[in-house]
Amino acid sequence: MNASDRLLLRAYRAILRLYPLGFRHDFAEEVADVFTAILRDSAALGCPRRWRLIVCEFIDAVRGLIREHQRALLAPAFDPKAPPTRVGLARDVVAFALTYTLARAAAQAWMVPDIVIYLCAGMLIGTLLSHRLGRRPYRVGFILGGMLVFAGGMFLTDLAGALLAIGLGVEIHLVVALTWITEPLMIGALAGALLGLADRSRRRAAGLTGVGLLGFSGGAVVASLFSVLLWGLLQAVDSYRPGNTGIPSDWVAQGGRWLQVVVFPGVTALIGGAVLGRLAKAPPRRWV
Amino acid sequence: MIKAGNPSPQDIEAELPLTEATTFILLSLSVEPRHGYAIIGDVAALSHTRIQLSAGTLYGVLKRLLSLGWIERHDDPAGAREESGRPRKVYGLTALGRSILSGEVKRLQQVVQAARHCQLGGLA
Repeated sequence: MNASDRLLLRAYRAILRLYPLGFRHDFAEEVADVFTAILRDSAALGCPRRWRLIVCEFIDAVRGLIREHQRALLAPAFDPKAPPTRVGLARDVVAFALTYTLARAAAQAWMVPDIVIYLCAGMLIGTLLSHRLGRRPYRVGFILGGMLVFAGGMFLTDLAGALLAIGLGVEIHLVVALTWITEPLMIGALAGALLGLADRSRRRAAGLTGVGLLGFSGGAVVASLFSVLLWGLLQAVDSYRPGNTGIPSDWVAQGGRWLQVVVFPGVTALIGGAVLGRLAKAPPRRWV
Repeated sequence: MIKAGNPSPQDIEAELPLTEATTFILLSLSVEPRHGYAIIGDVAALSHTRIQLSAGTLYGVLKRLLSLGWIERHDDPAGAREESGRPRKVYGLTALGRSILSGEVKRLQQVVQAARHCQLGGLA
Protein backbone atom coordinates (compact mmCIF):
# COMPACT_ATOMS: atom_id res chain seq x y z
CA MET A 1 0.00 0.00 0.00
CA ASN A 2 1.47 3.34 -1.03
CA ALA A 3 1.39 6.63 0.89
CA SER A 4 -1.71 8.03 -0.82
CA ASP A 5 -3.63 4.80 -0.15
CA ARG A 6 -2.60 4.90 3.49
CA LEU A 7 -3.86 8.48 3.68
CA LEU A 8 -7.17 7.46 2.07
CA LEU A 9 -7.53 4.59 4.53
CA ARG A 10 -6.90 6.95 7.45
CA ALA A 11 -9.52 9.36 6.14
CA TYR A 12 -11.98 6.47 5.71
CA ARG A 13 -11.28 5.23 9.23
CA ALA A 14 -11.87 8.76 10.52
CA ILE A 15 -15.39 8.66 9.02
CA LEU A 16 -15.97 5.20 10.54
CA ARG A 17 -15.06 6.58 13.96
CA LEU A 18 -18.12 8.86 13.73
CA TYR A 19 -20.52 5.91 13.38
CA PRO A 20 -22.64 4.91 16.41
CA LEU A 21 -20.74 2.84 18.94
CA GLY A 22 -22.68 -0.39 18.28
CA PHE A 23 -21.90 -0.31 14.57
CA ARG A 24 -18.28 0.65 15.17
CA HIS A 25 -17.82 -2.15 17.67
CA ASP A 26 -19.32 -4.81 15.41
CA PHE A 27 -18.32 -3.76 11.91
CA ALA A 28 -15.84 -0.87 11.69
CA GLU A 29 -12.77 -3.11 11.37
CA GLU A 30 -14.46 -5.26 8.74
CA VAL A 31 -15.59 -2.24 6.72
CA ALA A 32 -12.04 -0.87 6.84
CA ASP A 33 -10.70 -4.26 5.69
CA VAL A 34 -13.11 -4.27 2.74
CA PHE A 35 -12.09 -0.70 1.86
CA THR A 36 -8.44 -1.79 1.99
CA ALA A 37 -9.24 -4.63 -0.41
CA ILE A 38 -11.06 -2.21 -2.72
CA LEU A 39 -8.03 0.12 -2.69
CA ARG A 40 -5.73 -2.79 -3.46
CA ASP A 41 -7.81 -4.24 -6.30
CA SER A 42 -8.76 -0.91 -7.84
CA ALA A 43 -5.07 -0.15 -8.47
CA ALA A 44 -5.39 -2.25 -11.63
CA LEU A 45 -8.15 0.03 -12.95
CA GLY A 46 -7.46 3.19 -14.87
CA CYS A 47 -7.00 6.39 -12.89
CA PRO A 48 -10.44 7.97 -13.60
CA ARG A 49 -12.33 4.74 -12.85
CA ARG A 50 -10.33 4.15 -9.67
CA TRP A 51 -10.96 7.63 -8.33
CA ARG A 52 -14.64 7.46 -9.21
CA LEU A 53 -14.88 4.23 -7.22
CA ILE A 54 -13.03 5.72 -4.24
CA VAL A 55 -15.16 8.88 -4.26
CA CYS A 56 -18.31 6.69 -4.35
CA GLU A 57 -16.99 4.72 -1.35
CA PHE A 58 -16.48 7.94 0.61
CA ILE A 59 -19.89 9.33 -0.33
CA ASP A 60 -21.56 6.07 0.71
CA ALA A 61 -19.59 6.02 3.95
CA VAL A 62 -21.01 9.47 4.80
CA ARG A 63 -24.51 8.43 3.75
CA GLY A 64 -24.16 5.29 5.88
CA LEU A 65 -23.04 7.46 8.80
CA ILE A 66 -26.26 9.48 8.64
CA ARG A 67 -28.38 6.34 8.13
CA GLU A 68 -26.82 4.48 11.08
CA HIS A 69 -27.32 7.43 13.44
CA GLN A 70 -30.90 7.69 12.25
CA ARG A 71 -31.41 3.96 12.89
CA ALA A 72 -29.78 4.20 16.31
CA LEU A 73 -32.11 7.04 17.26
CA LEU A 74 -35.25 5.32 15.97
CA ALA A 75 -34.34 1.85 17.22
CA PRO A 76 -36.53 0.21 19.91
CA ALA A 77 -35.77 1.97 23.15
CA PHE A 78 -35.09 -0.83 25.60
CA ASP A 79 -32.99 -3.87 24.89
CA PRO A 80 -34.04 -6.63 27.33
CA LYS A 81 -30.94 -8.63 26.36
CA ALA A 82 -28.65 -5.87 27.62
CA PRO A 83 -30.42 -3.96 30.41
CA PRO A 84 -28.40 -1.30 32.24
CA THR A 85 -26.19 -2.77 34.94
CA ARG A 86 -27.20 -2.51 38.58
CA VAL A 87 -23.77 -1.16 39.49
CA GLY A 88 -23.96 1.53 36.81
CA LEU A 89 -27.40 2.65 37.94
CA ALA A 90 -26.45 2.58 41.63
CA ARG A 91 -23.36 4.67 40.87
CA ASP A 92 -25.42 7.25 38.99
CA VAL A 93 -28.14 7.40 41.64
CA VAL A 94 -25.59 7.91 44.43
CA ALA A 95 -23.78 10.54 42.34
CA PHE A 96 -27.10 12.27 41.75
CA ALA A 97 -28.05 12.17 45.45
CA LEU A 98 -24.67 13.63 46.43
CA THR A 99 -24.77 16.35 43.76
CA TYR A 100 -28.35 17.24 44.55
CA THR A 101 -27.65 17.41 48.30
CA LEU A 102 -24.55 19.53 47.81
CA ALA A 103 -26.43 21.85 45.46
CA ARG A 104 -29.29 22.15 47.95
CA ALA A 105 -26.86 22.87 50.80
CA ALA A 106 -24.99 25.39 48.66
CA ALA A 107 -28.27 27.08 47.74
CA GLN A 108 -29.04 27.44 51.42
CA ALA A 109 -25.58 28.48 52.57
CA TRP A 110 -24.40 30.73 49.76
CA MET A 111 -27.63 31.60 47.99
CA VAL A 112 -26.67 29.59 44.93
CA PRO A 113 -29.47 30.10 42.38
CA ASP A 114 -32.07 27.36 42.23
CA ILE A 115 -31.26 26.82 38.56
CA VAL A 116 -28.08 25.00 39.69
CA ILE A 117 -30.21 22.51 41.62
CA TYR A 118 -32.56 22.09 38.73
CA LEU A 119 -29.68 21.37 36.38
CA CYS A 120 -28.31 18.79 38.85
CA ALA A 121 -31.71 17.11 39.03
CA GLY A 122 -31.95 17.20 35.25
CA MET A 123 -28.66 15.29 35.13
CA LEU A 124 -30.33 12.34 36.85
CA ILE A 125 -33.19 12.36 34.39
CA GLY A 126 -30.83 12.48 31.43
CA THR A 127 -28.55 9.81 32.87
CA LEU A 128 -31.43 7.41 33.55
CA LEU A 129 -32.78 8.06 30.07
CA SER A 130 -29.45 7.27 28.49
CA HIS A 131 -29.29 4.04 30.55
CA ARG A 132 -32.75 3.04 29.38
CA LEU A 133 -32.05 3.89 25.79
CA GLY A 134 -28.63 2.24 25.99
CA ARG A 135 -27.15 4.50 23.33
CA ARG A 136 -23.81 5.60 24.55
CA PRO A 137 -23.07 7.93 21.63
CA TYR A 138 -25.97 10.06 22.73
CA ARG A 139 -25.36 9.87 26.48
CA VAL A 140 -24.13 13.47 26.79
CA GLY A 141 -27.02 14.63 24.60
CA PHE A 142 -29.54 12.90 26.83
CA ILE A 143 -27.96 14.32 29.96
CA LEU A 144 -28.02 17.86 28.52
CA GLY A 145 -31.60 17.29 27.28
CA GLY A 146 -32.68 16.08 30.72
CA MET A 147 -31.08 19.14 32.32
CA LEU A 148 -32.84 21.50 29.94
CA VAL A 149 -36.24 19.80 30.26
CA PHE A 150 -36.07 19.68 34.02
CA ALA A 151 -34.76 23.23 34.41
CA GLY A 152 -37.53 24.41 32.09
CA GLY A 153 -40.16 22.41 34.00
CA MET A 154 -39.03 23.74 37.35
CA PHE A 155 -38.85 27.30 36.02
CA LEU A 156 -42.50 27.01 34.94
CA THR A 157 -43.43 25.55 38.35
CA ASP A 158 -41.70 28.45 40.13
CA LEU A 159 -43.41 30.91 37.81
CA ALA A 160 -46.78 29.31 38.54
CA GLY A 161 -46.02 29.50 42.28
CA ALA A 162 -45.06 33.16 42.04
CA LEU A 163 -48.20 34.00 40.02
CA LEU A 164 -50.27 32.07 42.57
CA ALA A 165 -48.66 34.06 45.37
CA ILE A 166 -49.40 37.35 43.60
CA GLY A 167 -52.89 36.37 42.46
CA LEU A 168 -54.14 34.84 45.70
CA GLY A 169 -52.05 36.93 48.03
CA VAL A 170 -50.34 33.86 49.49
CA GLU A 171 -47.24 34.60 51.55
CA ILE A 172 -44.17 34.22 49.33
CA HIS A 173 -42.40 32.38 52.18
CA LEU A 174 -45.08 29.74 52.01
CA VAL A 175 -44.55 29.37 48.26
CA VAL A 176 -40.78 29.07 48.78
CA ALA A 177 -41.35 26.48 51.51
CA LEU A 178 -43.61 24.56 49.15
CA THR A 179 -40.70 24.33 46.70
CA TRP A 180 -39.10 21.85 49.11
CA ILE A 181 -41.99 19.52 48.42
CA THR A 182 -42.74 20.33 44.78
CA GLU A 183 -39.11 20.05 43.68
CA PRO A 184 -38.49 16.35 44.44
CA LEU A 185 -41.98 15.51 43.24
CA MET A 186 -41.29 17.26 39.95
CA ILE A 187 -38.04 15.29 39.60
CA GLY A 188 -39.92 12.03 40.09
CA ALA A 189 -42.80 12.96 37.80
CA LEU A 190 -40.66 14.35 34.98
CA ALA A 191 -38.14 11.52 35.11
CA GLY A 192 -40.97 8.96 35.05
CA ALA A 193 -42.70 10.76 32.17
CA LEU A 194 -39.51 10.94 30.12
CA LEU A 195 -38.69 7.28 30.78
CA GLY A 196 -42.20 6.39 29.61
CA LEU A 197 -41.92 8.58 26.52
CA ALA A 198 -38.60 6.88 25.74
CA ASP A 199 -40.65 3.67 25.39
CA ARG A 200 -42.85 5.56 22.88
CA SER A 201 -46.07 5.03 24.79
CA ARG A 202 -48.23 7.78 26.24
CA ARG A 203 -50.00 5.30 28.50
CA ARG A 204 -46.70 4.07 29.86
CA ALA A 205 -45.52 7.66 30.28
CA ALA A 206 -48.60 8.39 32.39
CA GLY A 207 -48.02 5.25 34.47
CA LEU A 208 -44.34 5.93 34.98
CA THR A 209 -45.05 9.56 35.89
CA GLY A 210 -47.20 8.22 38.73
CA VAL A 211 -44.53 5.73 39.79
CA GLY A 212 -41.84 8.44 39.73
CA LEU A 213 -44.08 10.74 41.73
CA LEU A 214 -44.78 8.01 44.28
CA GLY A 215 -41.09 7.11 44.48
CA PHE A 216 -40.03 10.63 45.35
CA SER A 217 -43.07 11.20 47.63
CA GLY A 218 -42.20 8.00 49.47
CA GLY A 219 -38.60 9.15 49.63
CA ALA A 220 -39.69 12.50 51.08
CA VAL A 221 -41.88 10.82 53.73
CA VAL A 222 -39.06 8.45 54.79
CA ALA A 223 -36.60 11.35 54.77
CA SER A 224 -38.94 13.40 56.98
CA LEU A 225 -39.34 10.55 59.46
CA PHE A 226 -35.60 9.95 59.47
CA SER A 227 -34.92 13.67 60.03
CA VAL A 228 -37.46 13.84 62.89
CA LEU A 229 -35.88 10.76 64.47
CA LEU A 230 -32.40 12.25 64.28
CA TRP A 231 -33.70 15.60 65.54
CA GLY A 232 -35.26 13.84 68.56
CA LEU A 233 -31.99 12.00 69.14
CA LEU A 234 -30.02 15.27 69.08
CA GLN A 235 -32.40 16.85 71.58
CA ALA A 236 -32.25 13.82 73.81
CA VAL A 237 -28.44 13.91 73.84
CA ASP A 238 -28.54 17.65 74.47
CA SER A 239 -30.89 17.22 77.42
CA TYR A 240 -28.20 15.27 79.30
CA ARG A 241 -25.60 18.03 79.05
CA PRO A 242 -24.60 19.55 82.43
CA GLY A 243 -26.29 22.85 83.23
CA ASN A 244 -29.19 22.24 80.87
CA THR A 245 -31.57 25.21 81.09
CA GLY A 246 -34.14 23.81 78.67
CA ILE A 247 -32.93 25.99 75.78
CA PRO A 248 -31.39 23.89 72.99
CA SER A 249 -27.65 24.39 72.45
CA ASP A 250 -26.29 26.04 69.34
CA TRP A 251 -25.03 22.71 67.99
CA VAL A 252 -28.52 21.26 68.24
CA ALA A 253 -29.90 24.20 66.25
CA GLN A 254 -27.09 23.75 63.73
CA GLY A 255 -27.84 20.03 63.60
CA GLY A 256 -31.49 20.76 62.86
CA ARG A 257 -30.45 23.00 60.02
CA TRP A 258 -28.17 20.30 58.60
CA LEU A 259 -31.00 17.81 58.85
CA GLN A 260 -33.21 20.11 56.80
CA VAL A 261 -30.59 21.10 54.25
CA VAL A 262 -28.56 17.90 53.84
CA VAL A 263 -30.30 14.84 55.27
CA PHE A 264 -33.79 15.52 53.93
CA PRO A 265 -32.85 16.13 50.26
CA GLY A 266 -30.14 13.44 50.41
CA VAL A 267 -32.41 10.66 51.65
CA THR A 268 -35.26 11.77 49.36
CA ALA A 269 -32.97 11.75 46.35
CA LEU A 270 -31.48 8.37 47.26
CA ILE A 271 -34.84 6.63 47.68
CA GLY A 272 -36.51 8.39 44.74
CA GLY A 273 -33.44 7.82 42.58
CA ALA A 274 -33.38 4.11 43.51
CA VAL A 275 -37.05 3.77 42.44
CA LEU A 276 -36.35 5.53 39.15
CA GLY A 277 -33.19 3.48 38.67
CA ARG A 278 -35.32 0.35 39.03
CA LEU A 279 -37.64 1.75 36.38
CA ALA A 280 -34.74 2.39 34.03
CA LYS A 281 -33.58 -1.21 34.46
CA ALA A 282 -36.92 -3.00 34.19
CA PRO A 283 -38.31 -4.02 30.79
CA PRO A 284 -41.25 -1.74 29.88
CA ARG A 285 -44.01 -4.36 30.07
CA ARG A 286 -43.32 -5.15 33.69
CA TRP A 287 -44.30 -1.69 34.86
CA VAL A 288 -47.41 -0.64 33.02
CA MET B 1 -39.77 -9.28 13.47
CA ILE B 2 -40.35 -12.98 12.76
CA LYS B 3 -39.15 -15.47 15.37
CA ALA B 4 -36.73 -18.12 14.16
CA GLY B 5 -38.21 -21.57 13.71
CA ASN B 6 -41.13 -22.20 11.44
CA PRO B 7 -42.42 -18.90 10.03
CA SER B 8 -45.93 -18.89 8.58
CA PRO B 9 -46.48 -17.75 4.96
CA GLN B 10 -48.19 -14.64 6.35
CA ASP B 11 -45.10 -13.82 8.43
CA ILE B 12 -42.91 -14.14 5.35
CA GLU B 13 -45.28 -12.12 3.19
CA ALA B 14 -45.20 -9.30 5.74
CA GLU B 15 -41.45 -8.91 5.15
CA LEU B 16 -41.80 -8.66 1.37
CA PRO B 17 -40.92 -7.11 -1.01
CA LEU B 18 -37.21 -6.92 -0.33
CA THR B 19 -34.98 -4.23 -1.75
CA GLU B 20 -32.91 -5.21 -4.74
CA ALA B 21 -29.65 -5.01 -2.80
CA THR B 22 -31.05 -7.20 0.00
CA THR B 23 -32.32 -9.77 -2.49
CA PHE B 24 -28.97 -10.01 -4.25
CA ILE B 25 -27.07 -10.25 -0.95
CA LEU B 26 -29.34 -13.08 0.21
CA LEU B 27 -28.97 -14.78 -3.17
CA SER B 28 -25.21 -14.53 -2.91
CA LEU B 29 -25.24 -16.04 0.59
CA SER B 30 -27.66 -18.80 -0.42
CA VAL B 31 -24.85 -20.47 -2.38
CA GLU B 32 -22.29 -20.52 0.43
CA PRO B 33 -21.16 -18.38 3.38
CA ARG B 34 -19.07 -15.44 2.16
CA HIS B 35 -17.05 -12.57 3.63
CA GLY B 36 -17.86 -8.90 2.95
CA TYR B 37 -15.60 -8.28 -0.03
CA ALA B 38 -16.68 -11.57 -1.67
CA ILE B 39 -20.33 -10.54 -1.29
CA ILE B 40 -19.63 -7.24 -3.10
CA GLY B 41 -17.97 -9.13 -5.98
CA ASP B 42 -20.67 -11.78 -6.14
CA VAL B 43 -23.53 -9.28 -6.10
CA ALA B 44 -21.85 -7.36 -8.94
CA ALA B 45 -21.48 -10.61 -10.92
CA LEU B 46 -25.05 -11.79 -10.23
CA SER B 47 -26.52 -8.45 -11.26
CA HIS B 48 -24.25 -8.11 -14.31
CA THR B 49 -22.44 -5.17 -12.62
CA ARG B 50 -25.74 -3.26 -12.34
CA ILE B 51 -25.48 -3.27 -8.53
CA GLN B 52 -22.13 -2.09 -7.18
CA LEU B 53 -22.33 -2.21 -3.41
CA SER B 54 -20.03 0.04 -1.43
CA ALA B 55 -18.55 -1.17 1.86
CA GLY B 56 -20.72 1.27 3.86
CA THR B 57 -23.95 0.21 2.15
CA LEU B 58 -23.13 -3.50 2.39
CA TYR B 59 -22.47 -3.44 6.12
CA GLY B 60 -25.57 -1.33 6.77
CA VAL B 61 -27.64 -4.07 5.11
CA LEU B 62 -25.70 -6.90 6.80
CA LYS B 63 -26.24 -5.31 10.21
CA ARG B 64 -29.98 -5.13 9.59
CA LEU B 65 -30.15 -8.71 8.30
CA LEU B 66 -28.20 -9.95 11.33
CA SER B 67 -30.59 -8.15 13.68
CA LEU B 68 -33.55 -9.72 11.85
CA GLY B 69 -31.96 -13.17 12.17
CA TRP B 70 -31.92 -13.78 8.43
CA ILE B 71 -28.17 -14.25 8.30
CA GLU B 72 -25.50 -15.30 10.79
CA ARG B 73 -21.89 -14.35 11.20
CA HIS B 74 -18.98 -16.51 12.27
CA ASP B 75 -15.22 -16.84 11.82
CA ASP B 76 -14.08 -18.25 8.49
CA PRO B 77 -13.91 -22.05 8.97
CA ALA B 78 -10.83 -22.12 6.73
CA GLY B 79 -9.08 -19.88 9.27
CA ALA B 80 -8.44 -17.13 6.71
CA ARG B 81 -7.28 -13.75 7.97
CA GLU B 82 -7.69 -10.19 6.68
CA GLU B 83 -4.69 -8.10 5.65
CA SER B 84 -4.87 -6.47 9.06
CA GLY B 85 -4.33 -9.90 10.66
CA ARG B 86 -7.86 -10.04 12.07
CA PRO B 87 -9.70 -13.37 11.65
CA ARG B 88 -11.97 -13.10 8.62
CA LYS B 89 -15.72 -13.12 9.34
CA VAL B 90 -18.10 -14.86 6.99
CA TYR B 91 -21.84 -14.47 6.64
CA GLY B 92 -24.24 -17.33 5.97
CA LEU B 93 -27.97 -17.62 5.42
CA THR B 94 -30.12 -18.92 8.29
CA ALA B 95 -33.19 -21.13 7.80
CA LEU B 96 -35.36 -18.04 8.32
CA GLY B 97 -33.35 -16.08 5.74
CA ARG B 98 -33.75 -18.94 3.28
CA SER B 99 -37.54 -18.96 3.80
CA ILE B 100 -37.69 -15.20 3.23
CA LEU B 101 -35.58 -15.49 0.09
CA SER B 102 -37.81 -18.30 -1.22
CA GLY B 103 -40.84 -16.10 -0.56
CA GLU B 104 -39.26 -13.21 -2.45
CA VAL B 105 -38.27 -15.43 -5.39
CA LYS B 106 -41.85 -16.78 -5.57
CA ARG B 107 -43.17 -13.22 -5.52
CA LEU B 108 -40.82 -12.20 -8.32
CA GLN B 109 -41.87 -15.27 -10.31
CA GLN B 110 -45.50 -14.18 -9.96
CA VAL B 111 -44.53 -10.72 -11.21
CA VAL B 112 -42.75 -12.23 -14.20
CA GLN B 113 -45.72 -14.53 -14.91
CA ALA B 114 -48.09 -11.59 -14.73
CA ALA B 115 -45.85 -9.58 -17.07
CA ARG B 116 -45.73 -12.47 -19.53
CA HIS B 117 -49.49 -12.86 -19.36
CA CYS B 118 -49.97 -9.16 -20.08
CA GLN B 119 -47.48 -9.31 -22.94
CA LEU B 120 -49.37 -12.28 -24.44
CA GLY B 121 -52.60 -10.29 -24.14
CA GLY B 122 -50.96 -7.47 -26.06
CA LEU B 123 -51.07 -5.05 -23.10
CA ALA B 124 -47.31 -4.66 -22.61
